[in-house]
Amino acid sequence: MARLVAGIGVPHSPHYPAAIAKDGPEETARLFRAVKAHLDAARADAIVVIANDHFNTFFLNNFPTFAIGVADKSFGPNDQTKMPHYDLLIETTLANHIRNVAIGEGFDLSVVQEFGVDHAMLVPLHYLTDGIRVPVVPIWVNAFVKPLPTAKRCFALGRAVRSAIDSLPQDTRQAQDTRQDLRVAVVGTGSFSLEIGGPKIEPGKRNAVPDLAWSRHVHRRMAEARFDELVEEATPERMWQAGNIGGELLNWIVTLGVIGKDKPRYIADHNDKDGHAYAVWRWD
Amino acid sequence: MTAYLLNKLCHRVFHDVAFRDAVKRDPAAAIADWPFTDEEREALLAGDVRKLYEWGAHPFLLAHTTRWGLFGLSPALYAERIQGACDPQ
Repeated sequence: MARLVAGIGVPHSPHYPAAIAKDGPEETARLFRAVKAHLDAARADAIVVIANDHFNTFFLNNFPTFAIGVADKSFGPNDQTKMPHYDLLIETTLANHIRNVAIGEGFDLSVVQEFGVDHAMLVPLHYLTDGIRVPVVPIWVNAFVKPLPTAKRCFALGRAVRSAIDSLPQDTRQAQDTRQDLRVAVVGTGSFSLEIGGPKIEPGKRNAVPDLAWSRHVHRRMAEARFDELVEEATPERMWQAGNIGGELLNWIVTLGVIGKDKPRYIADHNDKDGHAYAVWRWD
Repeated sequence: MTAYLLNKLCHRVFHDVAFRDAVKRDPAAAIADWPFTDEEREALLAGDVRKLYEWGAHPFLLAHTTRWGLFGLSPALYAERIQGACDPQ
């Protein structure tokens, strides 16, 4: 058996690790530490990480809408992000089970068996764990190659992942784990408003946060656990208005699908400069 | 599939350091074997990111060019040129 013990949402900016030490005085470091304290307390045996690839694991020759990594190990970063190199263990049994259950429920996840991961997965894991020793299950969502999957579909994928977590058979558990349940955390990551390289960028810069009103609204929807309304509102047009990377909200929406319907145990105030959100759900 | 080739080029300069260095040294020579149309080749070599974007180059990939000043593109020049670009259909 497995049990969801924590749900987490955080940003994944690739410039963070080089600029902000994990134990640093910056607000970003403080917020990651606040979230990490929850994850530590939840004692997760495995982390399902939900993020979008930025043309580093995949390219347009073969770009999956939804994919899952089912391998013994992985590594990263594979995108030249200035941060430590990590070798990752994959929670293969859970990954396989999620794949099987999701396909049974109508989500034809692409399977990926030899891969590196980019900053979108590694930056959160870098800040939220001690050396990423906990095994992970990577799930990729297409968040910026049009057409994106719908928010409704993403939420439903999250429900399927949850049903897989809840139904992991006892006899397929990793042998070294003697506890009753495999304790699973889910980490979703991304921005609600971000433009990179498109017409909305600021003069002299590569990016911009063009729609703080939207990120503030999304933040409020999450704080109040009004997921149904958020899924209705997160249309392709609305997310695009928030920037060409605004589709990263879909990573969070998959995560909300895993979470279900609860209010967060912790949610940092909306950041009125970068629109970033840090949120934690707990059930332990 | 114009946009595909443009995206492939931007992807390659990000991941292939030797190719990136070749583009830095002599952009025209480095892309000589790539089957772009004359118009595409001209826009690329001129760093006309507005055109490239409107033709469907992915902005995340296109912006990689500014990391190394490829095709004469500093972040400031890129930002100036991309202003007002229309989203590809």
